[in-house]
Amino acid sequence: MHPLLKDHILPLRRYALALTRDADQSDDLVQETLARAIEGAGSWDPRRDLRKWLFGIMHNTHLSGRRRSVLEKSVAQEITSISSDSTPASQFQSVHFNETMASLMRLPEEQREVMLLIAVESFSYKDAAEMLDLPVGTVMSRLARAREALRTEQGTERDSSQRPDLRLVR
Amino acid sequence: MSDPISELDLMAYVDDQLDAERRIAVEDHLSRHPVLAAQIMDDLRRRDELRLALTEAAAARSNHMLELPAERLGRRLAFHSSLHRNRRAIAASILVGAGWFAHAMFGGLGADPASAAHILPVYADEAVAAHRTVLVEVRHDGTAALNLVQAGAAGASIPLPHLPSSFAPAGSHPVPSERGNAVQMLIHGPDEQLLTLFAVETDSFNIQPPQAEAVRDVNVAYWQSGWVAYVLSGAADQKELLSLASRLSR
Repeated sequence: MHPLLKDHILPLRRYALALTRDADQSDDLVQETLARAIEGAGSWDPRRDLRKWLFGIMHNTHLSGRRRSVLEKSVAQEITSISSDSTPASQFQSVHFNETMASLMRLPEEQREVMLLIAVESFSYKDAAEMLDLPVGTVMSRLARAREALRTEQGTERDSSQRPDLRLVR
Repeated sequence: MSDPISELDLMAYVDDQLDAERRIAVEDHLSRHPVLAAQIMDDLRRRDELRLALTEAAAARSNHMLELPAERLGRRLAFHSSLHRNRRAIAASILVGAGWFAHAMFGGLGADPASAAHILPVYADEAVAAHRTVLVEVRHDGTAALNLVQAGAAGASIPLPHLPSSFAPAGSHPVPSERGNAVQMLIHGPDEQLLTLFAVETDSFNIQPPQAEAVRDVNVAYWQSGWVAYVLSGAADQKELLSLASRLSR
């Protein structure tokens, strides 16, 4: 694999898995991301972080893919008039994964995404905010909510008596 | 006296976003609040579990389908990056431009631009090695070698030139190259001469008309069209090879 890319594929795969919650769809997302990056290679400023650039492309690719699938789904639903939403269980729930992973996958996408970028991929709050095109405060409050949800799910809520005041921008 | 530890500090501590000084302040605070420390440890454990589980899941996927696009993207980015460096170098050189210009005008650099244009590309060696291999195979057992070559899958993504009617393709196969994807095509040229055409993806986009040269006693004509470089090798003399090459490169 090309030396510029070899360290970025695994992180991109992790992000794709967290975004799509489906192994096959994550493969497609990584491939589409690379294809878009090839097209847009000229827009990459070599002085800037390549990983951040690639993650930004994946985020946008996923967003546009989702918009597309929402559209396809609504058309399909109109045609077949199916009232019940029979989405199959995520592969992550059928395969054995630890409880934390399952909890992550149950988070709303906006929280799952910031959790992944910051906690798993160690992006700074500022970089994550730029990638997602959000204010830093929003990113941090989503992250705080994500952590809280994981704690609650696993029954490890904090005893708030010892905690300092929460001063998060909501 | 440092600021009191806030919830934001604790969060940033878990996310590794603090400078060393603030980390120490948070750790000092945690050492005096064991229950809070245990909760923070819990968040850290959860973060590490997520990293591990996602890494395992990601590593389990095959990269087979990504090899080609990743290679291509890498080369484009490398090319783009070198272009960027050159642009900056050019910008810097403008500062000393007048002096450099005078120097160059009066031959101070001592470089011959004509010779610079004739630097043999590095893939010519690989092309000649592949050419020799096929010739040996054909000489030993003509039909077997041709069958072998024909059976091989032609390069998946490398565009090969359209052959004029006096050229008959005998087969093509992928060949190893340091530089990425390469394909070798065995061709019966005009007058039944045996030619090989070597095509390889390069790091840089270029349009370069054919030039001829001898590489380790084999005459070659090479040219580049876009991202792909071609080397035509054969027994003909350089002039003839050049004329064959210009028919192929059109």
